[in-house]
Amino acid sequence: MALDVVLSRVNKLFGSNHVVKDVDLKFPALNFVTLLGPSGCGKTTLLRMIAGLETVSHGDIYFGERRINLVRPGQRDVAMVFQNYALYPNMNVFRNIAYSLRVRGTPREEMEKKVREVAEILEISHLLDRKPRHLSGGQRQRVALGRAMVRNPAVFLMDEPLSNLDAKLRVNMRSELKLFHQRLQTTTVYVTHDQLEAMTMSDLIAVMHDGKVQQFGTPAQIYNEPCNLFVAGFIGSPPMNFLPASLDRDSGGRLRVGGAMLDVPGETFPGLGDCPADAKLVLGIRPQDVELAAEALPGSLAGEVVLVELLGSEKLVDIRLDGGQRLVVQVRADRDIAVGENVRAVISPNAMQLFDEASGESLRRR
Amino acid sequence: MSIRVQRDWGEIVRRAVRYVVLGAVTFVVCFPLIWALLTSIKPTGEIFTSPPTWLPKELVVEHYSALIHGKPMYFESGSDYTPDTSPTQHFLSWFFNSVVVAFGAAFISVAIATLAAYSLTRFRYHGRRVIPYLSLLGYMMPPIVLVFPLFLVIVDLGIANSLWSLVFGYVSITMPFCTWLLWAFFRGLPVEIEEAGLIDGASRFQVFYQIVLPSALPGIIAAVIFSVIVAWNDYLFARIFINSVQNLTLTVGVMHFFEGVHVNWGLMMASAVLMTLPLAALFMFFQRHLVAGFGAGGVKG
Repeated sequence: MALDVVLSRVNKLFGSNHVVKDVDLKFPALNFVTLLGPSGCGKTTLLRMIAGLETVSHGDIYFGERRINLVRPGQRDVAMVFQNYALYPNMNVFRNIAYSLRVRGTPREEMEKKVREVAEILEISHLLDRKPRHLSGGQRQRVALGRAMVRNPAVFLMDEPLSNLDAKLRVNMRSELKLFHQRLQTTTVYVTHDQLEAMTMSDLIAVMHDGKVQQFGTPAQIYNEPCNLFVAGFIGSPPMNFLPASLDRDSGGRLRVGGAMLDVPGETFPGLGDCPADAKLVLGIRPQDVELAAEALPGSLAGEVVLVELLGSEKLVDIRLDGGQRLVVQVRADRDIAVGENVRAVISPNAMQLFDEASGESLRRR
Repeated sequence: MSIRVQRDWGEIVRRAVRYVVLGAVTFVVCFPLIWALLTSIKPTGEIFTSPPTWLPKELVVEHYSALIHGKPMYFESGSDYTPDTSPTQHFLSWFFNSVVVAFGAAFISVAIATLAAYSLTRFRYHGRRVIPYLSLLGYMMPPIVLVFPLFLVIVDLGIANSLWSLVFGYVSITMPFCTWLLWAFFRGLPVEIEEAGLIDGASRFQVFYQIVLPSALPGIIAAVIFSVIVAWNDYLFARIFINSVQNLTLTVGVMHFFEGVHVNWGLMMASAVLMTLPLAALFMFFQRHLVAGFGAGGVKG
């Protein structure tokens, strides 16, 4: 049976090193939740605490109603897939998958039946006699999944399971893992530093940085309404552009960016009116949300093209604005554009993000 | 149309030279063994013929049969001959002693070293980083420095002149090195396989003997072979700790074939062959593991 996973003010200290800080999260049952962040942000430590491989320094972890801080890993009804798969090197595939049943004293026939069932689903029936060292990366991955599947766990944990696979296999396995999650009917907690994996697979994403959860929400929320500069910069490829901006009271609350004045949709940024007049702001805009125009429209930023990169179906145009800032714009590949050309960049007001430079917090209404 | 294979004469010559050089080195290294084997199957009269015969003119097994049946050979003609002092009578018990002492010491040494090494790599406590290096240092200490203090300890324990004294002596010199070897080996085992076992519901002890030990088998075998060889070939400890003839090990016992001016070379060589064979067989059988074990130690240690 799938369970909610609740983290309540969870902290982890290694000596004086505070790696997980006051994490408060609730993962609803049956959801695929991703802990996303750069390396060293505490996401793996958090996952290991859920698994029971690390103790919790302060705070509580609940599976459903049950507090599991002091429950041994084997009693938590979790299954885990490790980055290096951690298959038992001395056992063949059958015994690897059967191990959890074996230590629980499952009768021979039942064990045999369950393992064959799982192997069938994962299409590894022909590998049951092999040792892990004779398997390819993708096959090892499947065995690791099989080991989790045969348990039918309440919570399924994965620690960067795709990072050891080559690029093509990774894309295939992404959809397989998602199907696997649906078939298993469990709550899945997935750790990755790859935002593309997180965006494509998750129901919910917790973006972590420096031991703290920066934002917790659906992939669309995280992408469209990043709550601070870190999340805005971390999510999205190519990354969001950031331009220094300030408020101009004289023109009725318009935004001064470089030499241009931009209109701000007031209903999206209700906090803007309370800002001090000299507040330093940061305008964030994704390369996809900028148009290039030939003539000088009002509220457009003038600049010169310094670099054009062809990505296949799109082109990335790197522009040096008149104020010296850089702006990357994504245009269709068939758009003719040359280095040295003078262009005007038009920012779509609905797609813009505004942040307070000092705190990094978004000014968008939430 | 068939493809004509081009001959690279330079490569053929290089290969020939390589084989000649390697063959010569192998012959030099193996010569004592070959000579011992040849001498052991020659009749006593032929051993000292000049010029020496390479292959025995007459093939005999009398030296081997004398060792195995404990038959007095040379000594029956001596004036001070008494049936009890013929060294050949003790050969089998020396052999047995050597086996007991070598394998007993190896078993104890590796059992302790395995647990020590596992603890050093998996648990956090003060000194866990320096102990492996210190134990390697301990192994570098020449045994002659250790033998007299050890002897005093053994006398105090009241086990002098028993096989136990040798077992403890050998454990004390092999265990530190085995600990270091297995420490290097365990460090190379990913800790995740143990964590996976814990999550699968196994206890720490189950994880240790169902997952860790089988994975560490190459290292353990290497440590056993190392310990057996050290104990099997030891002369110093056996010479000093043991003083009754029946408790000797092969290395010291065989010295009894030197009796003043009478040296029975046929018996000596037959003993040498019988001493070498078991270890050579062990070596060949486990060679793969030995290389893997020392390799892991070499790269990661």
